[in-house]
Amino acid sequence: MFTPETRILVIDDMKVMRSLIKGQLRTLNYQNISEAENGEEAFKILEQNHSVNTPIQVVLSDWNMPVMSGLELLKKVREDARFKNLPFIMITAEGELEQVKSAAELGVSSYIRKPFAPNTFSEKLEQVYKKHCA
Amino acid sequence: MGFQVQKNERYLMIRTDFPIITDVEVKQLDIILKAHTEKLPVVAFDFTTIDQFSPKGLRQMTLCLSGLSQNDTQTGFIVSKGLANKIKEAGLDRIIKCYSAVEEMLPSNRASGGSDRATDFLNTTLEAVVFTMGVSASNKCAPGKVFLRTQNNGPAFDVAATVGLVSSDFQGSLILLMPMKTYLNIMGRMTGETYTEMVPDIRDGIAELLNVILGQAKMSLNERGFQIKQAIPTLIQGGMINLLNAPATRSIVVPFSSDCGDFYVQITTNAGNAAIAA
Repeated sequence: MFTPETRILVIDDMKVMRSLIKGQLRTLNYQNISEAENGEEAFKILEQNHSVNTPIQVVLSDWNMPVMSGLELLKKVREDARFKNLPFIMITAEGELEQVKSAAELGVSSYIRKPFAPNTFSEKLEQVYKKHCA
Repeated sequence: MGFQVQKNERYLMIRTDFPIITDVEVKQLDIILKAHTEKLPVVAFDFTTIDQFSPKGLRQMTLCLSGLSQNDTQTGFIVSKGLANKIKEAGLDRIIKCYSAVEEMLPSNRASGGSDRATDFLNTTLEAVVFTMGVSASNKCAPGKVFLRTQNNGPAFDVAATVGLVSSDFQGSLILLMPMKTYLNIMGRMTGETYTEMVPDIRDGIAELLNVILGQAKMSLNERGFQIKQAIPTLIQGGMINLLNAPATRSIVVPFSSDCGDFYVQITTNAGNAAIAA
């Protein structure tokens, strides 16, 4: 399982959602949480952390965001050799088949639908750990 | 053993007597479906004799359904309760719709006239409100009596967000309105903090709640042909609040009582397509 030191990046254009997600991650003992408002800002954080040898280890990203959406970020991440295996969880209010399919085709690790229950992150992170890190 | 195809003007039905569906059978299904090049509004898979899908078969089947949905074809499985439960347990019930009979799938049996469509829209939206509030904020809520909004009976609110509704049936707005006290209680439950006044951390929370409500409702409504497009909600602030208080369009308001206090959902339809607020 991921440890409390695991570096997690939370991306959402709504501040309240970032607070909510960070709050739920903290109740699971995760301490190293960074945040970004959109995909573009998130990618800069991924690059910065990678350059100083403290890479982000899990991304939790909203879908609909201005500047760069979660799906655009996922595409950019998967095209970059440094991040192509990075666990990437999409969080979205969109749940239709086409959306799920397009994220799956781009290599999303897992998918959380809003609204989500408090225990959702625990389950999804465990699932993603088994898939990418076990 | 094999697949039998039955077709009429309303749907294409594919039946099988296989006891289990694996990826091999799904490939056969794919060939059968590709042979039907004309537009198929409804494709029903009668899998009542089947006890289970292999995991690979189920995965292949979701891809097969995805191909059909790109052509706006409505698909569904006619299955036993046991298999419907297995599909639900696999988390695929939002992709694979299960029915007990093909008649349940047909649009004319679900929502026929404009009035039925309006009721369907309203009920689904209200269900989405109750569900979202319950899961996001552990806030149990219930809708009260719906009323037509005039200039004199608008609900008291301090915080509001709106989102455009663009669908095959109508255009309008979905608006969520709350007194400050209710809003602070809900935000407190969502984030685990205590708020006594509006602070920047929670300023956009009502727009996010509305976004989730619409996403929830949209998914269900679009399965029934509403073709609602998702838009990004905006906060209603400053002078926009006065516009809300003097509605020029037909609007209905649904008051909700909840553990966190009262709040309101307003549905406004543009002139010329006022089925919802009629």
